[in-house]
Amino acid sequence: MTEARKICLLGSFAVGKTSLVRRFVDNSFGERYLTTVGVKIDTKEIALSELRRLKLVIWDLAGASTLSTPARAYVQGSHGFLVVCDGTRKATLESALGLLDSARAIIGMKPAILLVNKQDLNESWEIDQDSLEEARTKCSAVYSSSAKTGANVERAFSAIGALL
Amino acid sequence: MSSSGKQGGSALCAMPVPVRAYLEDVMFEQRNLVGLEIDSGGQCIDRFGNFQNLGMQSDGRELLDFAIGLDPGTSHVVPLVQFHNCPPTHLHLAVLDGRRFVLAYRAESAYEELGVQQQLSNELSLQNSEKNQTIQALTQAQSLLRDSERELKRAHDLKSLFISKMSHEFGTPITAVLGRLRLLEQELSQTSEVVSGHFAVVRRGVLHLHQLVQSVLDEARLEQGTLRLEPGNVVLSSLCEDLEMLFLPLAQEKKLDFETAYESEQTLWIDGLRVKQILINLVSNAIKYTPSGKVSLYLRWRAGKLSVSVQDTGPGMSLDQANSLFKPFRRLDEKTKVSGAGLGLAISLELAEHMGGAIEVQSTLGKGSRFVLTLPCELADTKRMRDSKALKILVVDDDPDIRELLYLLLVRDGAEVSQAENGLEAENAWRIMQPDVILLDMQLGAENGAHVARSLRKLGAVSRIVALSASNSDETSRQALSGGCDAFLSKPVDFEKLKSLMQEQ
Repeated sequence: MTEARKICLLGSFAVGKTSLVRRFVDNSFGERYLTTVGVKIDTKEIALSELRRLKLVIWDLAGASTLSTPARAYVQGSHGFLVVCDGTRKATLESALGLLDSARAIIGMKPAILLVNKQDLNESWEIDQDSLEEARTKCSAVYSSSAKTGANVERAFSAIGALL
Repeated sequence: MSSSGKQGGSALCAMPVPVRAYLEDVMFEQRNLVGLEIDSGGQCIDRFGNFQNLGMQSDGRELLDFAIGLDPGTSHVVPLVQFHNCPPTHLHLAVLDGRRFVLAYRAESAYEELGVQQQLSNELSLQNSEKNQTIQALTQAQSLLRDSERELKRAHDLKSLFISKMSHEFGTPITAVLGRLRLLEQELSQTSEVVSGHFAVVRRGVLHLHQLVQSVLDEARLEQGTLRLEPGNVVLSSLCEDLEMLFLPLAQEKKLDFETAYESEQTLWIDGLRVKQILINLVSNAIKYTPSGKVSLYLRWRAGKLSVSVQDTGPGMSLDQANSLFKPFRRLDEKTKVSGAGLGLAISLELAEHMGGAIEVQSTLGKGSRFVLTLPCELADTKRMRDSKALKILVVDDDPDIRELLYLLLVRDGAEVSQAENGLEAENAWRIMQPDVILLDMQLGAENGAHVARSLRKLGAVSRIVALSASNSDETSRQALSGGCDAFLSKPVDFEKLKSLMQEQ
């Protein structure tokens, strides 16, 4: 039987968490911003190797800059995190790392990957390599991604799957 | 998601039957309550309700996914969960009498209510964030603009310096050449027609070179707004005669009639050099482009305005041609072999506007053109003029060629002239001579002419001091006047203007 693992997406609002899941699960993208209320749960199986498959149960939490009381309960039982920030808003990087710290304080040191999203808007980019120093110490990998173009989306979900 | 203890089953049992029936109806029929019982390994033991009514798979596997990772011994409540392509639901992981159930029912109304508020709040925050980014970008743009302004000013200053240096470098030798030519012509032109012809050719060549250099420098000065006007006495009849003398040979060569006239004998207070520069352009163009017929020039002054009309019987222009006539480096017909840089009319118009006037053109194809120059000016105060013949003049210039040239021209004009090379010599000469007029170069090697003027004034000099400089900048003129000079004249020196300035009291 295929193993199942729960991962949570953490990040401020409008950084593109739901769009990343849509791209990963349905290979689709919508321009319109629609806030996530509560939590969205999706699943997708990935192949880690020829012999090993993994079912990712993806909890897409409503965006916030700090971990709300309901969200503290949502992260319970999570095996890992995808932490997402918006490359065109530097403040969202700090929020993302703060959320990761808070979640780990509740459930312990679980693996995490940081996605600096909206790579397609690189003309308004605010996050440079130097500002990712702290993220590199806290996360197993840092990817620049785009839910719009699909850049690094599959790669990031596969990478977190391999770490679980 | 919140944890809760054992549910109040006894309260439910105590409820009246109709109430229980009503709640069952609400939960099962209206809110589509569904549920699974799962074992400690997370496998489904039993299920109830219609999962498809909640958009789920018929076996309710979504609820099994929900339980993954959660502590099997603890109850959880998640108020708003949305599974893939399903409506929003309330979810409970309930531990009841040691058995584990996952229960779900519809939660659209709560979802919509919260969703609207959250969407508005997030969109507002995004707008604020964008606003802040825009303000930041504007601040950066302002800073860049300030840097660009500084760069532009630096470039502007460099350009001013270049123009000033070039004016000096070109102006000084041309003054010497033109002056010497004037003297040589006076000395030798009587000897033979051949010599006279040679002089005429050399003079035309030098004048043309001078005009080209002046055009380029004037264009640059006008563009920078640093062109200075040097008003002086201009006799209307003399101006008319000068132009006639200048252009009659050219008109005759082309077998054109050249008619000149002025309304009355008046002396105007205006920059004669610039007026002549504009009119030379207009008349020379009229002669150049008129193959046969007549060119006429008419000058008059009325009610504070000089008005000059230059009319020809040339081919005329279309409206488009007339509109592009005053643009730099434009020619009506690029194929014509007409010499010049194509700056003449552009500079003429800019000069006229710089002097507060205008040039209007009226033209019809095949019927000729008429240019009208109008410039505001007043009549000169001629009572304050003195005779230049009896003047005692001290020429102070470090360039021996210029000094000598001025000496020769002034002596020929009947004045008594002394020379000095620097400030010290000028002071000594002033003590001995007590001149009526001092012609003072503003750049005496390393010495500043304005400082020399100040020293002379301190000694008690009441002479009229006319500053001369190859630089035509406002800054040089300001320095000269603040140093105690009475008038400023740029090189190459227009001798008639110099005489007019010296004669003022």
